[in-house]
Amino acid sequence: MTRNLPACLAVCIALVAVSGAVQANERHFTYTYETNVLAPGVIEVEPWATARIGKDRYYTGIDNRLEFEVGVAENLQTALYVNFGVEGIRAGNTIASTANHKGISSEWKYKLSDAVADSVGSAVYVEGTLAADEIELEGKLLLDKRMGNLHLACNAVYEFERNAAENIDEHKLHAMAGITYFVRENLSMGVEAMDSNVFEPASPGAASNLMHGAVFAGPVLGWSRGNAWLAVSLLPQLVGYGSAVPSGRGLNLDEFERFQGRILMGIHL
Amino acid sequence: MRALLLAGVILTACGPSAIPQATAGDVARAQARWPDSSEQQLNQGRRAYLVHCGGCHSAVPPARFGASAWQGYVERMAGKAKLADPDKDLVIRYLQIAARPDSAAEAH
Repeated sequence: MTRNLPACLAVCIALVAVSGAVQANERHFTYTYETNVLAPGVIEVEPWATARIGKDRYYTGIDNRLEFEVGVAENLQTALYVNFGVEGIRAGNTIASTANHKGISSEWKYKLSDAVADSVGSAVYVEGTLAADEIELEGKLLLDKRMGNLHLACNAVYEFERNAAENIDEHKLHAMAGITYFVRENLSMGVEAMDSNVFEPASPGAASNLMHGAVFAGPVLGWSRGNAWLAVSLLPQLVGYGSAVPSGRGLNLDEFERFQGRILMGIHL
Repeated sequence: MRALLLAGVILTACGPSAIPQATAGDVARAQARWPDSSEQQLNQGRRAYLVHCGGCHSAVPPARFGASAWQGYVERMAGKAKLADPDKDLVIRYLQIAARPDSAAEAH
């Protein structure tokens, strides 16, 4: 498990180090999307790494994503990405580590209004993921606003997940929000929060109920130089809820982790 | 979800555009320098600015820099932003007309 992440980070850092003199499609949050889209013909590569640590048992998960984004028309961009990861779970006295390929995804994002020019920036986003035993569809409404050195963003997200192996459909609703302050034009510091809700049937074929929910919040840092950018966050779980009994100190550590952290990089090609 | 709605309301209530549409006064000043200028042209430059420059980073309000500074910024970044003439020329015209007067920019 530990071999994968450092290699990915090393590649990212090397790419940032050789980057040139133009900014890329910057993000200042890690879970919350902003509304800007690449200009037609502009291409960017985005490596991601998400660490998910600590459940009601030993658990560590690393999710990696390598994304290629391209602006296809005015206000429209698309991306194709591959998802892969590793998980470590305690099994008896040993830690079982498994690597997995989580399929390929396609996303499309259309900007409706601009975060600086209009009263509020807005965009719609759809994403589909196809894996060996799973299909995911996701839709997001994105809002953001840049006011001087302050940037606010919020998203509403619906996600449908069909697991063919377990014959279970899951519906997920998420809300994300962030606020960040630009200390300098290329350095921002803020906070980001995420409310995740999982609806699934208690048994195959039954109606879906709210089974799990959790709120995460924590600091986020954004930085850019030349034609590359970086965003990093660490979000501890603050509150857990749902019909599954929360464990620990009011947290839902059955479905969610105690901490999530994410690092995103973007390199303009 | 309530927090999301509240955030949306706050965002929606925000003030006027920092990337203004061209006005008749802007057109008159543009025509003094480029006689073929029109309101439609200046607003086409504004739109191209938002698409090509606002794609990679938040669009910088034109009034933030002086007119003479904008030409250099656009020339330097045009290649990577896939901004070519005639749109590049229109972007420069729009930004220079909407820019802060050079004397005021220098004072800051």
